[in-house]
This record gives sequence, structure tokens and C-alpha cells, in this order.
Amino acid sequence: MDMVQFGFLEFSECFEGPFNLAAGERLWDFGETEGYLWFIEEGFGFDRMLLEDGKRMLNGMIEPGIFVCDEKHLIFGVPAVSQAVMNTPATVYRISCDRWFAFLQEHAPMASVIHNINAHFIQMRKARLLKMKHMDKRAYWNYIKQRFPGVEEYCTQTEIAHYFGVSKSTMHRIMKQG
Amino acid sequence: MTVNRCPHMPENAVLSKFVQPVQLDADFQKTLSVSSTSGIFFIHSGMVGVFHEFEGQKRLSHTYDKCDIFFSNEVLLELNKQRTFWRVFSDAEVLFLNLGDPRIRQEFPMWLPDIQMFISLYSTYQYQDYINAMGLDRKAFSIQWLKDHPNTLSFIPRSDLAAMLNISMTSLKSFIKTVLYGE
Repeated sequence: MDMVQFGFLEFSECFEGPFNLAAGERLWDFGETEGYLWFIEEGFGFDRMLLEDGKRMLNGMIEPGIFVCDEKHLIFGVPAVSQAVMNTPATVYRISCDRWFAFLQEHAPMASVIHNINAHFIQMRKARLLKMKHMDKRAYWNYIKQRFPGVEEYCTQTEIAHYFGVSKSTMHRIMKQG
Repeated sequence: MTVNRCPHMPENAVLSKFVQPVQLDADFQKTLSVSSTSGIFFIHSGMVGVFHEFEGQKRLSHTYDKCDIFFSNEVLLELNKQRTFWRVFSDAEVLFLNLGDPRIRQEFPMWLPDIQMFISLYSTYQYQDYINAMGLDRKAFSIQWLKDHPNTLSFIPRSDLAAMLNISMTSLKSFIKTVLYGE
């Protein structure tokens, strides 16, 4: 892939940083109106969704090498409906969601790359939805414990229960058996 | 002030001439060449179910109902590990905006990449919404869903419905009673 043709170098220049965060610091919080797309160079954390009934659901793990953001803000420009906390010291970079959108509108080849990446995201989300509904919950919990090390330490049992689409008491039982 | 997500679309653009009403049947994806292009569907009437293959079984994950919008990239063959497919549950009529139409490319050459980008983001977010819905209280969510889709019981098998709502068949039976008879 030609880095210049696709605009990767220009894209990287749009990022602010590096920012060094301490364990426990937030990348963003519920209701924030200034949204950023974050690139994680170092550090681990978790992000949570605010559900429409006011509950908080574990959404996923933040780890080195990934981009994270509040998607609702990114797409619609509305206040954030999620929260992201780094649970270890972290080094991150950021670009405002508006700047990111504007960049893609000016760089069609990069937009096509993102378009393809999003297509893969749909596959991942489909898989997540299907696992949530149909996978054996104990097997899924054992998988998540390995995939998200520290999840029990940094997320509440209720947040984890919502991730699995089960009640808190069912989650408690699954965790005990697992 | 948020950046306009589709800035290249003229303010008074008229898309209606590119929209075609389509009566959906089992072969509509082939008829519309949905597999080779990107398009937007608006449901005018009827219901479409979205199925995926998981652990060797076809699973209903969600439905599209009147006034819903859905996108062809959900079922594109090139990127469809879950073998997602649409099933028309009842006579359904949709409005189809075929983004592969060369006339759109000609009239709005700058807008097409914007809308394709937006569709890819929005489709991904739609799945986040379905995931979030599974985190809600199952009883309240299921009862509300059944109230919002009163005709569903006549054409979606109960087992598919229970799996879609992530509840047991016993719970489904009890929630249906609540919705139908207020018990």
C-alpha cells in the first residue's frame, strides 16, 4: 500500500500528542460534547456504554495499537454515550472527530480504506451480537477472561453482566463456576 | 458546530428520481444486483428479518419494519463471514436507492464517497445498537418489542422470536400473554 497515495502520513500529522495518562484517567466521559478519535500507543483500559435505561454496559477493552472513540459522537456529532478509562499508565494520540471527518472528505483514497475497515467492523459486531445471544455463557466468560485480562478487577459485575446480556445473579453464578 | 458529515450534497438535491419502489420477494437481492453494489432500502410496508449462521444454525438477530432504513453492505458477499441474509416475512414493499446507478455518480460525483462512508459508519453503529439492546432488562425490552410489533406473531416462528429476544420459550409465552391479555 502506498502510504503517500492513501494519505497516511498527512493523516498522522493531524493527530495531537503524545499524551501521557496515569492509571485511572479517562479518555472521554458520558455527555462530553468535544469528541476525539484516540490512538492508543501504550496502555490498557475499558470502555462502557450508557444504555437507554441508565445502566452501564462493558463494551470492550482498549489496548495498544487500536483507535477508539465514542461512535455516536463521531457519526452524529451528539454528546458521548460512552466512557473510556485507562486502567494502566498510557500513551495516546488524538484527533477531533470533526477534523477526522473533514480529512476523509478531502482524501477519497483514505476514505475508501476506512470504508473497508468498517466493513470488517460490521463482521466483528455481528459476531459479538451472536455470541451474546447464542454462545454458551460459561464458555463465553472463559473466553472473555482470557481476551480481556483484568476485566474482573476493573469492571463491576453489573457492567460485565450486561456485556453478556444476563442478570447480575446469573453472572455471579457463571463467574463462580468458571 | 459539528462538521457536516455529507458536505458535498447540494442543499436542494432531489434524490426521488433515483429511488425505485420494489416489491420484495425471495430473490430480490439477485434481481436488484444488491451483491455487486451499495444501496439503501426504506421499508414502506411489511417486515424483513436478518439471519446469520452461528454454530451451524440460522439465527434471526433483528428485523426491519415499516419506516426502517437498512443497507446492502449488511449482506455483501465479499465480507459476509456470518452468511447474513434477509428473509421477507410478509409482503414487503421497499423504496430502493441504488447507489450503483451511474446517473447518481454523474450528478453527485463528490457526494457518493461521503454517503458510502457514512453508510459504512452507520451500519456499524446499527449493530452497536442491537448489542446495547441486549444489555437492557429482557422482560421490559421483550414486552415493549412485542407491543411495537403486534403482527409479528403470525409470521415469525416462536423459536426464532425467543432467540432474537434472547429469552427462553417459557418467558416468551408469558410475555405474549402479558401483551395480548394484560396478565
